[in-house]
Amino acid sequence: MQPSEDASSSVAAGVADGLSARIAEVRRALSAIRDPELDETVTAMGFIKAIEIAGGAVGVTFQLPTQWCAANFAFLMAVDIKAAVMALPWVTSADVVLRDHFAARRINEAVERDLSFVEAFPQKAEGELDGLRHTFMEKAFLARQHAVLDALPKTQAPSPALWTIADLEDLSRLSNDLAEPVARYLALRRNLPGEAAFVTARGAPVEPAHWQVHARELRGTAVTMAANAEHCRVLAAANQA
Amino acid sequence: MFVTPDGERILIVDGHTHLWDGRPSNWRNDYGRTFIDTFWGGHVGFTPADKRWTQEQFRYYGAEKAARDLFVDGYCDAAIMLPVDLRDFYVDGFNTTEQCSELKALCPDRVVLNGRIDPREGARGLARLERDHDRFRFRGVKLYTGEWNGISRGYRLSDDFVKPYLEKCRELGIDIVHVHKGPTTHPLDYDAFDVRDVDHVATSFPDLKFVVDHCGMPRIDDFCAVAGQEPNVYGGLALVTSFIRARPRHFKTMLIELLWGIGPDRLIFGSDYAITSPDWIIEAFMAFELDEAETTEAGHTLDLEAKRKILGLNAAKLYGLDVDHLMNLAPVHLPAAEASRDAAE
Repeated sequence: MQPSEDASSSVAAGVADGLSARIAEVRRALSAIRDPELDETVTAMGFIKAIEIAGGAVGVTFQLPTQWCAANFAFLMAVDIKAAVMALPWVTSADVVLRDHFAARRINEAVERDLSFVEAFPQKAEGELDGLRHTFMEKAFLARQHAVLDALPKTQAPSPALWTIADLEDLSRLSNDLAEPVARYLALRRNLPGEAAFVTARGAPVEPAHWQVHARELRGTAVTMAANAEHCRVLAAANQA
Repeated sequence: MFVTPDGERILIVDGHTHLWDGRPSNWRNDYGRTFIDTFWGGHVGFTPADKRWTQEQFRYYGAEKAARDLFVDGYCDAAIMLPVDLRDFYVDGFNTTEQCSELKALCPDRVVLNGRIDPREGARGLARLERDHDRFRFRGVKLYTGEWNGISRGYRLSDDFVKPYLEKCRELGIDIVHVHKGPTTHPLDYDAFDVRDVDHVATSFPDLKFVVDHCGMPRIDDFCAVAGQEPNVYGGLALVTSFIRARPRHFKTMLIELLWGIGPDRLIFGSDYAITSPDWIIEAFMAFELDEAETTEAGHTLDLEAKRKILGLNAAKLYGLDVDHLMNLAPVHLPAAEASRDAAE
């Protein structure tokens, strides 16, 4: 699918260049938004179906792989999409539309009115989504750490358990294969305390004796998240077939 | 039964099957349409192109086609049925015990018919379980925590109202509980797929066995953490095994995690019929191998013995099925005119 191209087809001829640039700008902003459950961007997953612009008013339509994807993650993405678009200096309003989803009407209305999740689902939710977001940020952290370790040569001395962040940065400068996973990992690592390169999701250092167990846990999380994302891609592709 | 090129006879028990009615005539509302359409996406996405059905056939296939797909073309010696009502979406229910009993009536020696429970139904639900059990004599029940029921959008096993149902199961001699997580739950801000509430009931009811459908997918990591600690927790492989042809690399990594986390003795094959059919999965699984490095990662060898367990012996042991009896049953014969499989291809 080519959402930007679809959207730009409706653009009037004379101002096409300016609008194309703005659509590209919106798309760039959206490419920073992640599906928190998968730690993949909404653009890479193909969730963005249309971007429409009229002056400072921006419309973004998105769709998930099935009508039955979890409503809480859908809500988080809708909120994040709106915030990212509103952050662009020229934008005066952002209309985010989730389509073909069991909770679409409620989510769209809530995001339009800037309601919280509890306000959107008064009898159905007990709390806001901070806890959910945090849990999946931790999973993303572990999966990204696994991606770094997976890109390293298999035998390392001394054990990676003893590396500092500076060691990891030095190493990543020497290898093209490492640069991207290290950058992705450190973006989350920097939110946690300490100088050790590889820590638990809570920021605790890993004892060398415990390293194998730790690496195993990372793998479980990484395998799970990757399979989930793949499942979503399979279902999304089937939906479009 | 699957027979290897060397003549080894392998018992096959499909641990996860349905007989549903997803036809428009049965839709209570638009959720009825979207629910079966989501299943259809799974069918199209994972089933090899030459094995795909038409959408009409997928919505309703009937007991005879099910018998053919499972017991004639699908290598299965037995099938375990997991009913779910979904009456909020379907007028007569989607895949009720009653609907599933049609296949049981057609192939009584080969079908294990489970019941379904919804612990939110209070005293009426307990009475219904007793009535259903009087009629069908269950070994197991299925519950779907994502099911909508009136104003409720789901529940957790750690909710107080679940306990009387598990006590009733114990009292009736129903000792197998299939747990299926769905996309909704209460509260809605909670991760509906989280399987850690299974830990709670598995500890409180050590004499019951809990089969987590889809091995907790999309939370295999959490499932392994729970099942690794609780010996009465099993993994139902439906959906995981469906990856074997469309996404073999992901299938392999998931299987390695599951073997490492809980080993080959508590994994139970399931096709999720009719989301897809067992024949192609079984053929692919029998041909599937782990190399030496992968075997080390898995902590277990995926040899013929392990495959036997996963494809049939584990389920037979769990349900107390007589392996020799199953492997010596007369083949299922269906009217030749109803060559529904040929029509599909």
